[in-house]
Amino acid sequence: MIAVTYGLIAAWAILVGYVLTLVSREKRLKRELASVKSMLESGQASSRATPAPRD
Amino acid sequence: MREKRLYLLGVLAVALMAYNLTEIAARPLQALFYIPLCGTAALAAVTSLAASIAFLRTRNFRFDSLAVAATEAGLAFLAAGIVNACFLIHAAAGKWWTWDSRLTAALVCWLLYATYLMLRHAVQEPTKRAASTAVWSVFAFLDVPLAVVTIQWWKPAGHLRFDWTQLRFCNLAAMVLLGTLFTVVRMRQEETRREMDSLRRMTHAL
Repeated sequence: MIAVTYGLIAAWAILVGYVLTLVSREKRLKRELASVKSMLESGQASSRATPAPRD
Repeated sequence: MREKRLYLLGVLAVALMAYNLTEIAARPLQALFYIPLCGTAALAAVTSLAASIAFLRTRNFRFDSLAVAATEAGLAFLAAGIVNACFLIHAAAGKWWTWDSRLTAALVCWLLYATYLMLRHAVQEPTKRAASTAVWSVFAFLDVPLAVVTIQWWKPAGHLRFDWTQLRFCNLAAMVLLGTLFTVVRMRQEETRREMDSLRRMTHAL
């Protein structure tokens, strides 16, 4: 019975570990997405501000 | 709306697992916990196969996201199932690993799907990456029915016999719900990553 309990705990530990990696990946993705969006917005603003070249 | 559905899936899975926990002491069949774990992994492998074939036919990247999400969730469940089985073997035979047909086939399966994820990291170009991993997923799936058949062909010594009707269906249902939840969350992450890559390309183009 003890081995069964340890086996259950080990299996759950793996699944919980996977959930933790999912959570950390989600946080990292959100952070990266926000930074890319802000980069894109600043890039668009600077391209609008730059005057068109004259011939 | 989608968030609510995800929460509902999670709540259902936890409720089923809580129900199972109340019966652990009374049911020695909890020793066979690796069966719902490996069953969920097999379902994930079927999902990955279907999504990979769908991607190869349509070139729709949503199927690629589904394939990688199902593969990753399935790997986690299979790893949990193998570790759980190792504890049972240790309790029965005093050693942590035996090269019997069940464990070996499960390990080969795990290694094949782990290679799938390694291949994904190795190929940079998105279309080539999705196509090559889809082909690998179809190849890796060949081991899943083989793993089931080997158990029937080469029954190991001390093979546990059990009545399928006695197996707690709730356990399998809870694991499948949990697997679905993991797959959906991981699939959304993959979609977000794809969106981010396209935004990055736009940023470089500016």
